[in-house]
Amino acid sequence: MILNLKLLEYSLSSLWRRKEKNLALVSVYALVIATLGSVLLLTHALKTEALMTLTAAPEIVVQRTLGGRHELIPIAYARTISEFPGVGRVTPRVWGYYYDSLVKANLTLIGIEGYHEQLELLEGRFPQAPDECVIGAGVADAFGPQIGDFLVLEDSSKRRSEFRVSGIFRSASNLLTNDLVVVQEAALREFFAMPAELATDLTVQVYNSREVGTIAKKISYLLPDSRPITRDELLHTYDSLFNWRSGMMLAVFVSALMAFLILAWDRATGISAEERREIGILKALGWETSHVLGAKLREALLLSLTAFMAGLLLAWWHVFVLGAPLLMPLLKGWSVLFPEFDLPPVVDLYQLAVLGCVTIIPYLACTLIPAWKAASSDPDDVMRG
Amino acid sequence: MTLAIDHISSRPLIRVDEVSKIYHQGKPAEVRALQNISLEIFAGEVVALSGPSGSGKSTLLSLIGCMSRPTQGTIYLQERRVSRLPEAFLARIRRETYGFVFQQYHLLRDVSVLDNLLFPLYPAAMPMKTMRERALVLLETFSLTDKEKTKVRRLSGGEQQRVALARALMADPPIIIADEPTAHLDAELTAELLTMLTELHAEGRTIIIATHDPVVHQSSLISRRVALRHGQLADAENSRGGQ
Repeated sequence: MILNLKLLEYSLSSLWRRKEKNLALVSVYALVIATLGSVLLLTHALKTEALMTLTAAPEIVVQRTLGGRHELIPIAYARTISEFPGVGRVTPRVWGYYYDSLVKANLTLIGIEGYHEQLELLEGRFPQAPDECVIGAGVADAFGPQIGDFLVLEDSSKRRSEFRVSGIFRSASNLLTNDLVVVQEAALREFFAMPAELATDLTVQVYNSREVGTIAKKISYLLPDSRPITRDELLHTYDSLFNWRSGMMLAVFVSALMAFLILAWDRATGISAEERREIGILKALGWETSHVLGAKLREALLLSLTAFMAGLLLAWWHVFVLGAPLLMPLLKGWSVLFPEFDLPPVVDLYQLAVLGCVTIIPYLACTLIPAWKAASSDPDDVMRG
Repeated sequence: MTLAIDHISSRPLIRVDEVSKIYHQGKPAEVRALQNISLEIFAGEVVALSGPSGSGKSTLLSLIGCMSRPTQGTIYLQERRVSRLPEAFLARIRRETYGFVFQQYHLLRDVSVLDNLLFPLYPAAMPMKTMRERALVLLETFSLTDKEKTKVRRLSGGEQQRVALARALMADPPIIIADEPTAHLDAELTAELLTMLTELHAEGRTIIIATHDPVVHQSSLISRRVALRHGQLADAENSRGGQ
């Protein structure tokens, strides 16, 4: 115990003696960890955000495909599906995308009837007339209208439609509502020129979550031109998407890590003449190789753990306080009207452990191997000057 | 392996038996530093190793001080064969039995005087507080109290020499090994050092000095002179002494 504390004291004083060099090393090391950590934290937060969003999604969404493309689905399919045992409410949805060339943003237009329980309004009320709409915060920011103002949209025949803003959304997740424009269903059908017997898709409520897969198969079997998408499949798609994107980024940043490790290796193998002399003196004074290595291990651990913690804090601040401005465009996707949302501050401990292993262990090796070589030599070298 | 030195024993404290040391053996740069050296040193002696540069003085001190192993032959410390012991045992002997004063002092220049003194005792099972107390006593003995927190690089040559000697005494070793301790000192500081060594000898320590400084050789402190030339003993008679 006494020996451990004394070696720790020696290590601290040794680090302090070379404070300029060590500070520079910790800064670079922390920056590398902050970069890698930011990718991991952001990916995990986005996945969690997507999960939170999809928790409120219907168990099954049924689309119709024609020639491999998404087509409008007959509302009559809803009646067929609702007759399956275990199926609750089947709701036709009317929605579509609207591209605004001025702000270069895609909006999601949804037609609803009455109050929508999954969506909460920040202020105002749901549309009660065909010329009213509720908009997401992103739409309000991009187009500028507030409650009482008009949102002007052009349909495919270049006919202008004006909707008075009656409310602005508040949602647990801005991912869901940020680019949303909600109008009455009849108004949206008119805007998109959508026939009354068709819908964009159908949402299917299933009472028992274990039966979702079976019911999806039945739908496919009975309605061969339909494509049922379960909530689990959506989650899996998000998971794969973020993993793929973060994987690409990690591949780039791991090369930065490698560059750092090569630098560290170079520094460590080129252990300075001063450090070599110090090790020789300690050996001559009666330090064993294990004492020297113990002290160097403590030095390396103190340095790498400090850098690791600093890097993680930096990553946390970048991702959860600043909203990851340096990485978000790469990870968030194609939308021009990016959702401005607060990432949930969640951390995957397994990911952190892996990050710690791939950054700390190689650094320890880079430091200890040359120190071991220096400590294994005869202290005679010191005696001979 | 703490060695209690027996001052009245008729057996030598250190015995060097037919020792040779070859550096870079079998390589083009091979150097035969010592050849078939036999030497006995008894407790309480002050032995001066003399000889020109390259005669093997430092190599012999290094072997006696357990800093390297002989290529051939054996070294005994109190009749225990130490030259083939594992590195950890040799380190412990260096720590507990020998106090070294190196030619270049070998102090850590960016470290305070006090911390330099503490280094030899870091591996020892001694609380830091006790170590500091011992160091402060030695600083007072060597008139360095006011330099306790001064970094070594700010000290004069004489002060560094005193720090090196104080450090050598931190573990209270029975044997002091000094390699050219007066090489960088003027006459006044040399006299000061000899006075300090005389006091250490009076405390019962055995002292082995490698030097070609005539002032040291002529000092009454020296009880025996051993001359080396080309890695061999120049005067075999002086290889056995003490009794």
